[in-house]
Amino acid sequence: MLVKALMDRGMFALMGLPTCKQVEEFAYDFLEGALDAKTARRLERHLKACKNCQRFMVAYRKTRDLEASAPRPPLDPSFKEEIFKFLTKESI
Amino acid sequence: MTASNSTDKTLVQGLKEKKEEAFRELLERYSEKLFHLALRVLRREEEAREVVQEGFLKVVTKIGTFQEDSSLYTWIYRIVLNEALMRRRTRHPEREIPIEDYLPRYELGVATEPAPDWAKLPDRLFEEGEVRDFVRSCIEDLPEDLRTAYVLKDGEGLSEDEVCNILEISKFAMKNRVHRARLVIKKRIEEKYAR
Ligand SMILES: [Zn+2]
Repeated sequence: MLVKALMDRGMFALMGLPTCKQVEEFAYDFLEGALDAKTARRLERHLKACKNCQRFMVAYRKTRDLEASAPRPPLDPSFKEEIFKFLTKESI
Repeated sequence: MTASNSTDKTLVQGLKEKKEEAFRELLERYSEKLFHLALRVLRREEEAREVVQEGFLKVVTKIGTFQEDSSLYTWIYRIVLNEALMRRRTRHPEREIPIEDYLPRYELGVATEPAPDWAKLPDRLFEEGEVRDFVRSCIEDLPEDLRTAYVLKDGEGLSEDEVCNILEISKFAMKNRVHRARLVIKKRIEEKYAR
């Protein structure tokens, strides 16, 4: 593992690309589209070359989307009317 | 949501004067959103409704203290969020999971463990009841600061600025919390389903 790590690291450094750890650190801004163009390009080049980080990014993106896709129960239409009565009674 | 012609300023003024149409406008604009927000924190519809009701009462009784130069939306969200968090804390004490155990590790900049391949997991998996419940429990087990940032940003889909303003934290802190929440949830799902 260590030999491979050193080789990977050497390769990415040679290409002037971020390390796998940096890919993780940039992941939030990357998905947000908040990285500057140069850093984003470097990160994409790392992703192209690194299967592990590709997998990381797929999982990271999916995790971001998990809660957004959770079902949202509708609010009972009578609720607003109930609160309206409650508010007028309690506060006026 | 019903389109609204009334600006925040006229709404605030109406609430201060306790005008009925201002109450209606307030409920029209925020009921649904606040209900979903409270539900994300509490996970129980009945409790979420109670918290929204209490929150609205606070809004109309404290509208006099609202700083007109700040955002009404943020102020209302913060009131209901705090109400929901308080209610939650009384219900069950925080089950602090050791989040460090779930964050990725690196040696010389390279991950010490191979990343599981999520592409192999069927998309449908996450819609199934059991997995959904597990994901939910992973979110529930997060420390409050991480959980709240995650549900506001990734659940409710609020903007970075909105989350920062509601939680009154810096952008750096907000990003950090959301990022770590995602990493912890991801790791726990991987331990259970992607090995
Ligand atoms: Zn990598």
